[in-house]
This record gives sequence, structure tokens and C-alpha cells, in this order.
Amino acid sequence: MPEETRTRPLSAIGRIRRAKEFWIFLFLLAIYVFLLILKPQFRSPDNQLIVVRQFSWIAIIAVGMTMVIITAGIDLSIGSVLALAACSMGKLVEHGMNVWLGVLAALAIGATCGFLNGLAITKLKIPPFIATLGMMAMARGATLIVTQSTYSILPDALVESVGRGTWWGVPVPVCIMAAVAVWGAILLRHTTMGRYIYAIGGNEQAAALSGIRVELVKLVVYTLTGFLAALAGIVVAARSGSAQPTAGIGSELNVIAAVIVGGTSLMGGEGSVIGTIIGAAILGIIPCALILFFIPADWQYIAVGAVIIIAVALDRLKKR
Amino acid sequence: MSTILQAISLRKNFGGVVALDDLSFEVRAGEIKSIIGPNGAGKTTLFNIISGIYRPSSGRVRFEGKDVALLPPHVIARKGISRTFQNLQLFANMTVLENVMVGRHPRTRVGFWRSIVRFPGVRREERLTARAAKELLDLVGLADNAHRAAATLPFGKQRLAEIARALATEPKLLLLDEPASGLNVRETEQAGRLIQKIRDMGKTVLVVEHDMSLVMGISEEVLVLDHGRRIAEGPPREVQKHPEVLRVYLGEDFHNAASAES
Repeated sequence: MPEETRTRPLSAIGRIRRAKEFWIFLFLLAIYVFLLILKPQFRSPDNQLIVVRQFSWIAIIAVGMTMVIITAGIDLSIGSVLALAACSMGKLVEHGMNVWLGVLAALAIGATCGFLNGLAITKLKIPPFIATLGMMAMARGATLIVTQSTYSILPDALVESVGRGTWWGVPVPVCIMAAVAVWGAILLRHTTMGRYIYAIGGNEQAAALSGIRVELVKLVVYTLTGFLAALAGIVVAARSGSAQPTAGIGSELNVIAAVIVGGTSLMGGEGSVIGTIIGAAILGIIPCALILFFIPADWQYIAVGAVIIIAVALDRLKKR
Repeated sequence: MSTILQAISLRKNFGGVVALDDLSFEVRAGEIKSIIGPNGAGKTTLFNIISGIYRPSSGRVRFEGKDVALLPPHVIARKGISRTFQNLQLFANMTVLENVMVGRHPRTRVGFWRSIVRFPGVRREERLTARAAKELLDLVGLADNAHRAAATLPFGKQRLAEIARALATEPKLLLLDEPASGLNVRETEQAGRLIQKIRDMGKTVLVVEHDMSLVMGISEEVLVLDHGRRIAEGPPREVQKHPEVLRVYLGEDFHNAASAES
């Protein structure tokens, strides 16, 4: 095996070919080219950007979820936190708060929920699955209580600028997604904090014995994910023009699926933001492809489920 | 020589099982001390207490005169105690160099919050960290393997990588849990020379080991445990002849036969 005798860092091309992101990117590219050839209406950049805009909110949360899963954790609460943040913003603004202060309040609420997740996991030593399952129920309950199960109409200022607005011709939600992804990729790959995150997922005990403040890193990671869930909630609400108490139900599964398809291991210690964005794109483009081929929408779930299983199965086979 | 580590009446129970039973001993700064004893004697339990993974049921551990027994592992690591594991505990998906750099981070001047961003100062620090990590890989003889994934290294080299990572935290006291287990004779000799080199760098080394040739070859002092108790302590030559040690290692009959002969 050439790998056994390697003594220098891989060349750029070698690294790209070895990365598992490369293969899922090829898969995405294949679907994309397939649609370009067979469906003329897919060829307009505007239509393509609409597809990206549709999965952008999933991708925004998935960046945080990637970090959580790399630490060998999970966050099931993001869908409820998204709704709580967006609906609290809606009600605060309805009661006269400035809309941008409402946005800040939503982000603070999301970060707080994430921080509480982190506290439950690190201080109460509750497994992440259970701690965030509890938060999932409580944040949804809080949303229903705060809103009395009613939705709020959001002011035009937010809807026009964030929901329908564009920067340099690119929809604002896509710009936000791109900014979050670039920031997340730099954090994971090029900062000390990123190395701590991989180290904790790779071997938590060894990380602690190397002097890493494991609890603090986990707190940061869950807080960031709560923050990003709120950011996604603002994007979703601004897109639809209203904050719905049922927003984000079931979205935790889509977010986790994007991360898994993107090559991040649920066992922790490996994964990347680039892979996650590609994963979100694959899961976002499939419904679009089905619609373009007039396949009934109910088949989406079958297709998405199959992609998740095939992606992980291929990864396993390659590792053998 | 001054005392660097002091265990005072350490006791550890797991349910009804007594793993450490009123154990007291001292380690002097700058020495290589080995801990031997049959399986289940409490050696690894002792390491787990010193490094903060377990809390003792009672008793104290003093490091440089301060109590450390109740501190969490990352704080103990920062105070200057570092360790390796009998069953290796590397970050499998990282390269060898990255493994060592993780160990190095707590010693850099970049604080926790600055670790999230990437200012030029942080980048400079990162380069220094990488350089220090490479020097350690040189020391243990893994410089040529720096960019390989840790999991792809042969077993003996993984042991060396773990020692390099442990050294990266700049410990004053290094705990090595069976550094020769799984190594062949030649590798064991190399490990022995490496441990002596580490001691010569001014570090104190506490070794749990089954390989008697290694223990007797490098240790200034040997502590013998059995059932969580100290049964002998002293220079290797004395410990080797200690009747309790012979009994534990060779059985009652041998001991009786030996005393009948003399």
C-alpha cells in the first residue's frame, strides 16, 4: 500500500481524491448534470438558486449539528428551538418591539436553549440524545404557550430584506448559509477549537488528559447549534412572512440526515462542514428532481431514506 | 532529592472490591520509579486516581505539595501530570502530528476564547505548536510518520506517538502504563532508552510494567503491589530478593523451597 510508506503530506489532488467529500460531491454533480441535460427549465440560474434557497435553512443548522456530531453528540431539539426563537420574535415584534431587536432576541433565545442543552449534558451528565429530547419537548411546549398556538405576521422590513431580498443577485438566505458554512469550515479546520472538537469525538478521555476543557468545548458547540437553529428560524419565518408554532417539526431528522450523508460519523471524531453542505444539497435537490419528473411528492421520503442508507453503506464498503 | 508526588493512605473500593488498600508511597523528583505486581494488584487503578479519572474512596494525592486527588483530569494535566494508556488511546482519525499538537495546546498562550478565531497571532502560535510537536516526534523517532493517520501506524509506533503526545503537555511527572506491552525485544530496549532520555530531560517518570528486564534495567526504585497493598519498595536489586515479592510472583511453594535451601 502506498499509504504505508507516505512520509509527507498528500498533494492537493491526492487529498481531494482520498476525501470522502469527493465521492458525495460526484454524486451531487451527477444528479445536477442529469437534471441539466433532461430538464431545460432547471438550466436557469434563478431556478437553481430557488432550490438552494429551499435547503439553506437546513444547511445553516447542519453546520452546528456537524460540530455536535463530531463530538459524538446529537441535538434533537433544533426544530423546536427554531420555532421557539421565531415565534418569540413574532410575538415580541407584534407587541411593538423593533424588528431587528426582535431578531437579536430570537438569536439570544436560541443560544440560551443550546446553552441549557450543554449544561444538562456536561453538568448533569445526561446523554445528549436524552438531554436534547427533553429540550425538544419543552421548547415546543414553550412555543405553544408563548403563541397560544397562533401564528404571527412578520413586518415587511424583515420579509422584504431577508425573506425575499438578494445580495449581488443571490437570495439572502443563501448568502447567510454561505457565510455560516465558511465560518464553520474555518472554525473546524483551522482553529484550535476545531482540533479540540475532533479530539473530543475521537477520544474524550484522552482529550481531557491532554488538558482540554471538554465540558467548555461541548457547551460552546451546543450553544452555537442553538444559535444557528434560531438563525434558521428567522430565515424560515422571513421567507414565509409569518412565524408558525409548528415550524421545524421533524426538521432535526433532515438536518441529521444532511450531516450523515455528508460523511460525518455518528461515532464522532470525523466529518466536515463541506461534506455537510454537499449532503444538504443532495437532500435538497432530490425533491426538486422528483417534481421535475412528475413523480408524486410522497415518493420524496422513499428517495431521501434510500439516499441516507446508500451513502452510509458505500462509506462502510469503502472502509473495508 | 525532593518529593514530587506523595500518595497518603489511598483507598479505592469498587462496590465490595478493594482495589487499593491504605497505600502510601512517595516519588522523588527526577527519578524513574516502577510499579509492579500481579494482575489486579491495583496498578492501573492507581494511575487512574493520580491522573484524575477516578476519585479515591479515601486518602490523598499530593503533587508538588498540593492536593490534587479531587481535581478533574484536564486541571491535573495542566498542573504537570501526563500519562499514556496500557490500551492505546490515540485520536485515531488524526495524523500523528495532530495528535501531538492536541497535547501541546494547553501549553500555548492562546486562551480558550481566542481559540475560536484565527488572528495572525494565533496562526503564529499554531506554527510554534507544530514545530514543538515535530521536535517531540524527533525525540521518540517518529518524525517520518508525522503525516500518517495515527490508526495506520504499527502498534509499537502508536505507543511512541502516545508518549510524544503525553510529553507535549510539558509534564513534570509522566505516567507510563505498560509502555512495553505488545512490543518485541528490540522495541522494548528502545523504549527503555527513550524513558531514560526523558528522565535525563529533567522529568520524573512513574512506570507500570510487567516486563522485568525493562523494570530492572531502568528503575531507580521499584514499588511492588499486591491486592492494593504495598508489599515491597526499594532499589531493583533489593526488591528482587524480597521474600514477599518472591512469594507473590513465584508462589508459596517456591518461597518455602528457597528458604529451606538457605
